[in-house]
Amino acid sequence: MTADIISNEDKSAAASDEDAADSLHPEETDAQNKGNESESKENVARTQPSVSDESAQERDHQSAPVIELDDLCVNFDKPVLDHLSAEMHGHCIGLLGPNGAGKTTLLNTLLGFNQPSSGKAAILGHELDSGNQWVRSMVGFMPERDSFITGMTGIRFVRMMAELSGLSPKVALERAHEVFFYVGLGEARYRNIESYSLGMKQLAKLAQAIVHGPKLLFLDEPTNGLDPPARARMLQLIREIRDSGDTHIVVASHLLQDIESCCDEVLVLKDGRIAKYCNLEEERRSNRQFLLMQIRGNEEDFVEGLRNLGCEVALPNRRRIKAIIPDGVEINQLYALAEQLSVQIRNLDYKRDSLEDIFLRAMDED
Amino acid sequence: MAIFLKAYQGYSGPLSPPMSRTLVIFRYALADVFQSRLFVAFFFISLLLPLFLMCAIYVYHNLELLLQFDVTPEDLTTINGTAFTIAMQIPQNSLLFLMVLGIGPTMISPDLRNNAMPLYLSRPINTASYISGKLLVLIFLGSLISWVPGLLLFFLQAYLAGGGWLGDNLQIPVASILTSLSWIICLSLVAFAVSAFVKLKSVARMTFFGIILLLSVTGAVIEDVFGGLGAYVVNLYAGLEVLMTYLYNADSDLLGFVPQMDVGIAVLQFLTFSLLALLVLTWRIRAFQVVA
Repeated sequence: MTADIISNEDKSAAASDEDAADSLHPEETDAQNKGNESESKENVARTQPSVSDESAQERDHQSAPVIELDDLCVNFDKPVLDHLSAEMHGHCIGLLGPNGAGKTTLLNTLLGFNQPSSGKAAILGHELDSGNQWVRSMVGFMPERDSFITGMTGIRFVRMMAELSGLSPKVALERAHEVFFYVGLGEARYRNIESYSLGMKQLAKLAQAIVHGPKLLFLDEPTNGLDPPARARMLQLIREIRDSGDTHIVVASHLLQDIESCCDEVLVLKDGRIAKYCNLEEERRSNRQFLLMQIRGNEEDFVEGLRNLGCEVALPNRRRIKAIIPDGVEINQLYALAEQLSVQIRNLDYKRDSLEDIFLRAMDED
Repeated sequence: MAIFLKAYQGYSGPLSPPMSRTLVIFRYALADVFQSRLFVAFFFISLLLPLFLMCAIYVYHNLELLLQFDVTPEDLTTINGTAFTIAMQIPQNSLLFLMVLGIGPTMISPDLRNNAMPLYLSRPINTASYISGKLLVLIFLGSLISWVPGLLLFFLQAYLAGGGWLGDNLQIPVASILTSLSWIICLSLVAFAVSAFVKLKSVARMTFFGIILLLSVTGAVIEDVFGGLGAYVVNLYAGLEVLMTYLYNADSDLLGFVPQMDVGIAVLQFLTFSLLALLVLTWRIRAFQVVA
């Protein structure tokens, strides 16, 4: 593990402020999470249908895994998904993997576009088959590629998609307007969708995916082709939808930062197989903290001194030292060592493994 | 959710029955068709024929008016299945072909070109619902310019003729409905199949026209070279003529040349073309294409 941490030091050093804040104030984060959970429960209760059978069905779905894969295989001449088994319960699940790892194929299979060669998959407790209309009425899908219907204004396009999902024309129109304002395209809703910029098209795709209030939202590379402000906006929207508690989200991306900023669980795919499945928060907690230090003075002696204290040390670049502190060693001892060797510790920061570390380790392990 | 709140909320209201999703596709596709002024003009011109025939039937039964033109009822031909075939069904067949030529080849290709199929098929509809929704547009519009006015003419004639005319000619409404629907459905499916391959509208129209023309020419060539049944099997219009003559109980001598083909083979021909087109459509209309 140490070797992995060290080799990815630069990326780790660039871990987001949000993560640092989480690690520094875990109790605040926990309280916030609990708050979100209770809010989420309230929202779920609000969305339950009044008919008792449907309520029971709804409760079953809430207790069931969001996605359940049972030895799932998909073949296109060659195996594309190879014996995948996992139970995913997260509110926002990231599908991560290099290009060609099988992320989109898994999404397509979960949407019923592909028939599994063997094995099973279930969404919210409902086993998938091509005729499972219930599942399809409960999911929203934002495809990776440009997808729209020509000759339509944005609002008409989204309204049609809402009606196809089962909303009445009146409700569909209302929600289409609302969702256009929500994603920030309110002023452009009467423009022909072909005239939208790439970023606007991405937002329109998100609008059509959420207009019917799906229980599960599949987002395939949602930040593709977006400039930094548009990307930040898209990620913010995903987090808001996640925090609303009404919708589970599955985000497929090869961008680690996107996944890290939105998701609480991650499924890492490599060559059609599961390389790693983890809860990000738990994974971070289980990983040892390391110290990132910038020093001025005799580096070699200081490193030697750290090693004598029992620390695992690496020198990712000049004047930066990465050290894993063993149990029983206090920070004060480091300062004492520095004083003894006349070394200035100019900067000292606690860090944890970033998703990138986890991802790269998963790639290496296989 | 009020717009000003700009907050995301799920939806827990009622959902429409699954069957109604086909009608959503139908409604939107129909509205798209009527955005074309050319089509609107064509549609209303198509209605001029039944209007003219309605006037003709009225005049036919107005003895005073006929006598003013020195025409006696004996001079006029009898209105029966053959008359309906010649005056109404044959021109309507051409109008239907033009309608399908104008609309059909452009209905699927824009969705495929713009990768819209994942959006449709990730919702609670399937390929059959999608094709049915689009097909309903052509059936609806085709019906409005073919068998619906045909039925009106039939009942007008039955009312004015009185006596036993209605009972003697009951095959006419059935023939009008079956002939028109067979022609519309078969042509539409072929047009959709073309549309599923050719993405440019104008090229798709030309391809569809070319295929129908090619089938007729191929039929003619086969007839010249080999003769016999094989000449007509590939020619869709030959099948239509046979079906029409049979259903209307029309006099083939008065209709001109009618291919010597069994009506069962004509029905089989329509079914085969429709099924082949459907196979092509179900193969092409998918949420995504697998690239080997």
